[in-house]
Order: sequence, then C-alpha cells, then structure tokens
Amino acid sequence: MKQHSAVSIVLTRTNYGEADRIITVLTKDSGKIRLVAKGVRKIRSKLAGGIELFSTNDIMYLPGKGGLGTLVSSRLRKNYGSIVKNIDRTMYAYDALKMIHKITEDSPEPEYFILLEHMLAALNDETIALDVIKTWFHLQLLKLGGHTPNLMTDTEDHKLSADERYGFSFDNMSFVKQSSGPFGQHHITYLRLGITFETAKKLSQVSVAPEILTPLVQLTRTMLERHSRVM
Amino acid sequence: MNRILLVEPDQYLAEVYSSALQHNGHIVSVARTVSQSVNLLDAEQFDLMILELKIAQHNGIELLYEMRSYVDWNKIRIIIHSSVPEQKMMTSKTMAQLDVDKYLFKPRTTLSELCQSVEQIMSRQYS
Repeated sequence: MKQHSAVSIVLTRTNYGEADRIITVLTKDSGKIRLVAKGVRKIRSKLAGGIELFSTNDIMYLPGKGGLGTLVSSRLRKNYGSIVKNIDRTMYAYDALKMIHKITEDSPEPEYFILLEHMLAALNDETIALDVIKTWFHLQLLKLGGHTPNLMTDTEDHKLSADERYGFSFDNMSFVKQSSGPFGQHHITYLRLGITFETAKKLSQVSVAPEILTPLVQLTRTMLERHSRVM
Repeated sequence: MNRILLVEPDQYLAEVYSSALQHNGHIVSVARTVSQSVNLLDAEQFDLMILELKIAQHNGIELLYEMRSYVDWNKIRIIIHSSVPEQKMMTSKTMAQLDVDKYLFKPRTTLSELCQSVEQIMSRQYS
C-alpha cells in the first residue's frame, strides 16, 4: 500500500492499548486524519518527538479502513515551544485546538490549517498580547465559517456611526443602536481590522486600549459559540 | 494507604508537604518536572495527584491534559495546589472537563487544609 505524506498539526491524542496512541491531525492538503501511532509510549520510539502538540510535523502514513490510518514516521518541522512557558497561553492553545477540531468536518479547507499555524505562531510570540490573538482568531474562525459579523450597518440598516453607541444582536450578527451601549467606534474599527488582517502579528501593531480589547474577546467568543460548533 | 504523586518544583515545599502527607499515612512520590511526573505515572499506580501549575519548561496544564488523554490515568484524582489564582485559570467547566477534584490557591491554603482536602477526596473515592 502506498504511503502518503502530509504537513500536519496534532489536534488530539488519546491512548490506545498499552503502547500506542490515536492522534487526530489537521493537514494542509488532506483534511483531518485519524492515525494510530504505534509504540510511542515506549521511550525510544522514533515517533515520540514528532507527535507533540503545538508543533507542525512532516508525517508519512498509510491510509486505513474505517478512517483510521497508521502513522509510519514523523519529523518535527516547527515546534512552538514558547507557548508552554506561559500558563494562560497553554490554556488557550488547548482551547483553540478544541475549537478547530469541533468546527472542522472531515474535509476542511486548507485555510483552517493555515489559520491554525498562524495562531500557534502568534501564541509562540510573547510580544503579541493574548487578548489580541484571541480576538483575531475568533474573527478568522467566524470568517472561515461564513459567519462574519456585519460591521458596516446596524440592525436597521443604517450605516454605523462614529458618534453612536451600540449593543450587539447575536441573532442578526449586527450592532444595534443603544444610547448607553457598550460598543463604539473604536470597538467596531478594531473588529474590522481583525477580520482584514491575515495574522495576529499585524493586528498587534495597531494600538488599542485594554478597555476596548477586553470586551471584544468575549464578544467574538460569544459570536462563535452562537454560530459555530465550538462548544 | 493511598499513593500520592506530588508535583512540586520547589524542593523545600515538596519536603514539607510530603512529610505531612506521609505523617497521615500516605505513600508519597515527588516529581519536580513534567517529564519526571510522566515517568512516575508510567512506573507506578497512583490514587491522587497534587499538582502545582507553575513548572519550568512545561507547565501543569500540559500535564493535566496529557494525563486525561490516557484512559488508564483517568482514575487518578487531582488536586491543583497552585500559586496561580483559580479564577485566573479555570472555569468550573474546564475543571469538570479535566476532572479536577479541587483547586487550592497555595498562598491561602494551610498545610492542614491541604491534608484535609486529600482525606476528603480519598474518602469519596472509596465510599
């Protein structure tokens, strides 16, 4: 049987018998794949170094029956080792992997792999604030899933104004005019940039006050929870 | 007699906690790093793990997720005993997902409170 190769990121790992692991990986060109990694609980396994979380790996595998293939070899391509030096980033990295795993079906577009790679790179970069990464990632996931919020007009189809305050309607995925609403021009501008920029690094170069950013993390997370399968 | 894995990078604290737990009749193994913890988990059977989250090179969150990905380690009860405040770290949902029995904020937890928590959890385990 012919071996296949892929660039992959591990989404989940569970054990399988005494010495094996089942891993679910997201690949760039072959979607999401489940593989048995044999013998990786043994200390000297050649695979042990290549199936870590928070890394990109070059893998060779044999496709199998019932959607479970066999991992033949794995070589570490890029390890985002700085993530685990920070507990908050570690927690979010696990959260993000879970979100991607839930949102993607068996044949996700390559864009999900690229997004995940960018997200891990951002978490690995201590100069990028965690809340910036979270806001950017949530917006990108919404965009990929076709749930981009309406950042141009309000629920009554009026152009969003710099002088108004707004609440947010999750049903309409639009801002709703509210005289004492929590969101204003700066929030909306930042969201527009978060949707547009391809990396969190770029977004982090935009100066933003914590009182603007902090509510946007929760707002975008709630958008995802209401419209995607992240929970 | 219960077997406890104490994951505590601070040597002095590890000695203090370990002595107190042994005085209460438990068998205690100490790990100061995540890889030591994994090696001990592989080599021995534990009933309970007491876990500090702030560990050099890797951290306790990684160890926690790793543990819960192994079916044979899912029976081990877990007390997080950490210098990281609970509200900063874990929602009750995450605690439930990771099957954490108790979260103790180290600066505000006395030694006897730690020991009492161990006894409570172990007695629930066997009731």
